[in-house]
Amino acid sequence: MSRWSRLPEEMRLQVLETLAQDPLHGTYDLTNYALVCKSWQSIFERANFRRLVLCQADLDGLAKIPKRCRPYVRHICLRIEMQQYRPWAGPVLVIRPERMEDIATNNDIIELAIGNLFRVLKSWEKELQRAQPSYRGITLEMSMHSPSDPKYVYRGVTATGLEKGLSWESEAGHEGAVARVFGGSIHIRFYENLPQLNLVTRFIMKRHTRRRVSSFTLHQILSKLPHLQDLVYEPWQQSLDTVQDLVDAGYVNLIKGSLPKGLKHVTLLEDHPYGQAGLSVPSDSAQNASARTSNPFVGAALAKRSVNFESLSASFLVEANDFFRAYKREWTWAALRSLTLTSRYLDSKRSSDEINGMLKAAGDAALAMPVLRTMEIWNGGPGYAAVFEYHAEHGEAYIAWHSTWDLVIDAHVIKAWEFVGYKNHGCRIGVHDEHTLIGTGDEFRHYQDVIQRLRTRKNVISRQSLDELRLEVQDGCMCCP
Amino acid sequence: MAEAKPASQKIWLVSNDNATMEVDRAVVERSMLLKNMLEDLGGADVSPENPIPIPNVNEAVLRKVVEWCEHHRNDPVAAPDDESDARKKTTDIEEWDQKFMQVDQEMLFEIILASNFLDIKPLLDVGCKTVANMIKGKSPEEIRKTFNITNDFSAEEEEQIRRENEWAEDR
Repeated sequence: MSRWSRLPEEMRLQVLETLAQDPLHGTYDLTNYALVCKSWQSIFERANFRRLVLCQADLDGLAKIPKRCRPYVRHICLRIEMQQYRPWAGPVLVIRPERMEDIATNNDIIELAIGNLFRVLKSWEKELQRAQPSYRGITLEMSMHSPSDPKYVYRGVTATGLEKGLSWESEAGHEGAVARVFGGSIHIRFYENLPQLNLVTRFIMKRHTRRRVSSFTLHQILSKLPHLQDLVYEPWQQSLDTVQDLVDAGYVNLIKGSLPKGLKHVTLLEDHPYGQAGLSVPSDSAQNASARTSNPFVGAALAKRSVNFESLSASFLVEANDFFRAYKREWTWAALRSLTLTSRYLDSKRSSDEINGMLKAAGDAALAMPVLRTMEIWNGGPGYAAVFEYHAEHGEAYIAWHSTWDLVIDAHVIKAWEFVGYKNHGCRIGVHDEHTLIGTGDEFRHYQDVIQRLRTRKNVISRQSLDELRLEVQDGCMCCP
Repeated sequence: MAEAKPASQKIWLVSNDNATMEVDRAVVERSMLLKNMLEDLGGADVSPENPIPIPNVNEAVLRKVVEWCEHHRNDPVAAPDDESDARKKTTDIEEWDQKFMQVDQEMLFEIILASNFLDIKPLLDVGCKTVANMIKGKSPEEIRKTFNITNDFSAEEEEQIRRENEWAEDR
């Protein structure tokens, strides 16, 4: 009997699973392990095909994946590569904005890539569902960028570089480069209709896509994913108010009309370049924006649409006060367990009446969230941070306030939340240190420092985005897809 | 009613080749099997004359297992949270454990089997990670040779599977 076969099956499996999940495996290690024998093959192919990061040129290869490996694919990340560009050679090297023909060409590239991906996955669908009735669905992640992006911004780094250990693509910034990366817009009408994809249950578009993808474009994608349960969307704030107004109107339409019915978990985070040292290139208008006042219609639309959600985190894209003030007494968030929102009211410059008013409105709305376990309302940036927390578990519930300044929670706020504890959990509400200082302002360089302290941090931002954000804040680089 | 169990309370174990060894109860209790047994039966009846039999584990292996339990007697019980789970998924092994596992393959497999029988999960994890590290970076042929595994692929199958998997691994 060979030494290997002396080990019971479950231990052999544990060894192989350890190897399969080892994040530090070398080039073609998984391939080599899969080639040892047939019993090893499926274990390592499952790991090898689990997450595929593709550009549009790889889609032919995706179509040729052997049938036995298709059920192993759980996450497809399509990094769409748009046209490359070069600095404009004048007296100073300048990156000029995208021209209309650049935009049109890029949109064609994206339309073709998304269409091809949808068609490949559609061709898998029937067979996957027949072969594996319990198939749990696929995560579809998309990003759009030009391979030139990291070359011309100061210390650009690609996500691939980040995954493999840092590699700076460039140390020199070019005038106009940041504006180009942030400034391009993606607006596509899919002339050849996208097929409906029933196997996609999660859709992700992370903050490293800095170009604005129009709501119309997103609508056409999301409306073809009827079984979507999870959505992670991390767009960027626009530098021009007029553009932002249009974008907000698009968000309202998207939230009201495009989100699939079965959606349960939603993460929205609108990033803004304010406070990121490496991106503070004064000549680029995109970099001068600070966190904006959110559009109340977006908050109201999200409040209404979220009544069927199980978890929701919306940061900066909506204002918590707008969300709670939109609440109608006939609404019930019957399944909502976790709610995380940002609020510009959480600012030391605001009066305590304003802050308490918002927290009272939150308590009033929470009455209609019978299974809510955690609500966090937060805000933060360079020099300040604040978190209001409600948590209920095992028949106990509490509220807590943590901030870099002193605030007394009013009795009427406590009363509103006492009612929540009593009605939803049949218990008294604990008030944990009415006002706890979480540190001095110096400890908070960026809003990501506050996210680290949230109980619901995993819902607030994708893990990779948080890693990228940390790096960008620390090292002043820009991470591209 | 639970009996008092001072950390210094002694427990006697006997291997399948009749070697008896005296071990602190706190050390023995790294084994979930023995911990539950002692809690159910109480340890009072255990004596040098009436040791707990450990079938299938010989003296040399039992001594190694006890040595590991001694070293890790004060380790906290691992919390089943995500982060510790993530740690478990890497092939990292702490330095002392690496040295401890520098034994021949026969002994390594015996330690794994003993830790499985005695239900010492962290030792089983270290054992499995050690085997995983022996595999890491090797070619299929080297792995087959190391563990005496038969190649059941034809040359054509092997080539095809290699091509398909290399494509995925490049992505």
